[in-house]
Amino acid sequence: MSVPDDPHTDESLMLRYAAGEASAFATLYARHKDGVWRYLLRGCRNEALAAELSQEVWASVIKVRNIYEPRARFATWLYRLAHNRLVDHWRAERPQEELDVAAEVAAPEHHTPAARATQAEQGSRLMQALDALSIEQREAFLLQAEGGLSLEEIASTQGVGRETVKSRLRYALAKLRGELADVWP
Amino acid sequence: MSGPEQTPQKPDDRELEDFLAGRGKVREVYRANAQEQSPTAVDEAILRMSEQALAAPVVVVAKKPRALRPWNTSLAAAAVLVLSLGVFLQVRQDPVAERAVFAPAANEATQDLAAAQPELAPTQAQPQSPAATQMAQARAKADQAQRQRSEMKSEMKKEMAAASAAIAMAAPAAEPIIAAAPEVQADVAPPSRRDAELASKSSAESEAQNFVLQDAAPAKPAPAPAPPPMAMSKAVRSAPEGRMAAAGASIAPATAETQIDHWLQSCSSDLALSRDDSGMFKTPQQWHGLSVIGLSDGALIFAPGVSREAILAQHGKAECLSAPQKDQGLRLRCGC
Repeated sequence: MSVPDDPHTDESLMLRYAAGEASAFATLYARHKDGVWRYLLRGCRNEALAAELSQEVWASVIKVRNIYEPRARFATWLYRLAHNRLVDHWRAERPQEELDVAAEVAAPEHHTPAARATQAEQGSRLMQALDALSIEQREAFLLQAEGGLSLEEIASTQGVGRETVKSRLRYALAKLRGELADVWP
Repeated sequence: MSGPEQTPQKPDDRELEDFLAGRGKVREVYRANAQEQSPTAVDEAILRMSEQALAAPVVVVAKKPRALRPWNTSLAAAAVLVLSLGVFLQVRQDPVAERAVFAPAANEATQDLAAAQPELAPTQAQPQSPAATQMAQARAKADQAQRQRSEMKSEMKKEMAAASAAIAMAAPAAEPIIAAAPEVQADVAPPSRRDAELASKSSAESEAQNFVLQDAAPAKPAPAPAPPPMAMSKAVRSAPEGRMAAAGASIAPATAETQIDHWLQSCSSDLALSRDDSGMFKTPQQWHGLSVIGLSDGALIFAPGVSREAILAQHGKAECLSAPQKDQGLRLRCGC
């Protein structure tokens, strides 16, 4: 990927930040912070841990700014950093993973009684179904929904083939649709 | 040839394409409900971090090329050293492997030297260092042991082949011999003992040279006490020691007896005993101590003086005996 001409692209902003322009990073951060946050939150299902992982991801971006080269889309690179952090977390937590899953399913914000009262029943059930997906399927879904990554970019991030990603997304969408089959025609 | 088929798109693929394009019901519902935002405290911390990073002096740590990382090189060197040492020690402990590894090189070196300086080759090709001398001595010992082993093996094979051939011919006839001559049973021991000694000697020498005989028969204890005649005949057919014993019994004592016995049982005429046209032996033969003068008309002809009782003592069937004329010897029919 060549150096972008548009000074407002993610890659340009990153290069400007590397050149010493702090506001470029602020713009960049504002663009991606919520997407990365939701990706991490749904990946680890723990708000405190998501905050910690989020800081680590952005700290990595800051740390390597001087050797950053826009070889790929900034979003692809950013979500790969986030993916790697999540994988590190899963590896560290694997012995308790099943317990954590069971414990955390009820914990997220949108599952609390107050949230349920305000959220549409449909959305709540979709989120529950999303939580019930396998890690790989949920990741593929979130990388596209939050990061806007293409099939190839998701495949590169997850380290699998394009067809595998397609298959994961197909299953994910089918399960989410199946969960809401009684609501959706 | 028809054109490309217009297959209807699968529903899940259409759904996937919609999702990838940012459309679809699932995405719509997800977008409407996924409204979580990064906490303000986290935002502030990260932005502060980004500003502090710009204020701090830039320290660029260039990544060293993979090949130049010191731990990488030292680890590779250590691994190579350990592996080579292990292989070297293993080769040194195994004479066969040592010869396979070092001998070809030594032979090639000797040949090269001989080709270059024929008159000096014998002296200059000698190993110079003490280690080389030891190696040469060990090689010579290994060669000698190998030769001995080959010789022993060939001897054993010859004996086994002779024994097998003999037993094929004389095993049926060996039963009455063993039954009649207990002293033959004593002959059972020598071949077996010799076989055992040979095997133990060869294995002992082989062990001394770090060889293990793979195909030599294991040394066996002395044979069990002689069973009754009939049981012995069965043992003769089955056990290797017995086969060797029968071979010894059939080869060593009177071959005429065994041949006549065999002839009496099978009525075959393949006797090596010389006879005249009428079937009379040129010289009378002994058959279990009885004088036999010839074979004729499917019957064994005894000398005129041999009594009926003496024959029946060796051959229990009186109906097989006949006396054509008074002055002539008794006849014992074969296959009877």
